[in-house]
Amino acid sequence: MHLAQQGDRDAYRSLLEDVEPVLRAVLRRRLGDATDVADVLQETLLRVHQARHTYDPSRPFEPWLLAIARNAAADHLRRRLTRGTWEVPIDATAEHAASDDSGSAALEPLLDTLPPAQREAFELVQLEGLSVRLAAARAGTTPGALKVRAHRAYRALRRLLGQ
Amino acid sequence: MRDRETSRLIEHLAAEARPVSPLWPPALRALAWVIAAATLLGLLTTSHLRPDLAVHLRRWRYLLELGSIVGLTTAVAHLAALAAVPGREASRAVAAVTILAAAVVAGFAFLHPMDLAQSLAGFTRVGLDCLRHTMLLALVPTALMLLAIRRGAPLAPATAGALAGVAGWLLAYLFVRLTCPLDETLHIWLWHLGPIGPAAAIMAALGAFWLGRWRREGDPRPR
Repeated sequence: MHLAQQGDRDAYRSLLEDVEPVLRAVLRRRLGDATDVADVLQETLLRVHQARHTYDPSRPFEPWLLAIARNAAADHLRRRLTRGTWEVPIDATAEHAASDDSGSAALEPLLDTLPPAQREAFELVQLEGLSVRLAAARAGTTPGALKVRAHRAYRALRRLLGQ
Repeated sequence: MRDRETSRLIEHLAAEARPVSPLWPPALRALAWVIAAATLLGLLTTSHLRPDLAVHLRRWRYLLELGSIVGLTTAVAHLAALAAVPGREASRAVAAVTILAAAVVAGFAFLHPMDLAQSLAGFTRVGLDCLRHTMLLALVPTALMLLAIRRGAPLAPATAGALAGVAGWLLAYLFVRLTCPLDETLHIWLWHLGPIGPAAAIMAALGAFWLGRWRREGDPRPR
């Protein structure tokens, strides 16, 4: 991690690959559900990345890492309890897009009509099949904002396909 | 076995790896905050010192009171700095010192005479003035501490915010003891020290909103 803080990409990649199974085991014990584990694992890796400047190389690495993982798991469980209805649209989007055979052939030219941000969100989530969190990281935005963009893209496409 | 998305994320994060400026150790950050904030408040209050300050500074009880406030402020600032680093918790020694210092500061606040004969209107009028004065003084150190915590990665943002509020208010209380000539227990508790609770609650709410934002941001912090 000390090398990663100095910008050593190979060392950082190696570190993340080494800690991934440890984090997965910890999260599996806390969350149980395999889908949740994958989601929260990615969230944890993102937070490790965002918080890497706080790690003190003179101190043990594991407490720092596991604190982030436990916190991410706790946040996920809290969100699951209070999950709002606005998450439904993106799930419904996936179902509708998968079942809409008549629209898929005409999709490409329709995507050109979308604003770039909405198109990117739709492509990342629907066409490349990325999770919302990974897609948000790729797009350089928050998961919430990405969901909104993807949902607006779906509504626009649905309107165009309906016409 | 690692899934495809996680592998892609690891590649993405490794590609984004830029050098970062590590945080100073929490104890050092706390000390830096005390020095910087106290210097600023000192400059703000230098022309408003209580007229009998020279007399009070020759009394051991007054000096001990000021010293206990400085000690408690530093201890709470240390806790706030620890809250900005994942996996760092206060040691038993730090917790014990903080509790002891809090008891001493509270004890000193009770040692002053109590004037039950004063009129409610006068007590309130003067007190609200002092409260406003204390709030204004607390703004600067609290803002500085919030910025310092925000630089880190607080896993409990509400708690971190509350600690920033307490530390800021305590430092303001120190300078209020240097500027306010009213050494009366009710006045000190109601208008100087007592509001530390609501201040902590307000900062906890602000912290929950603002200090936790690093978890929702996608970009790393480059040097």
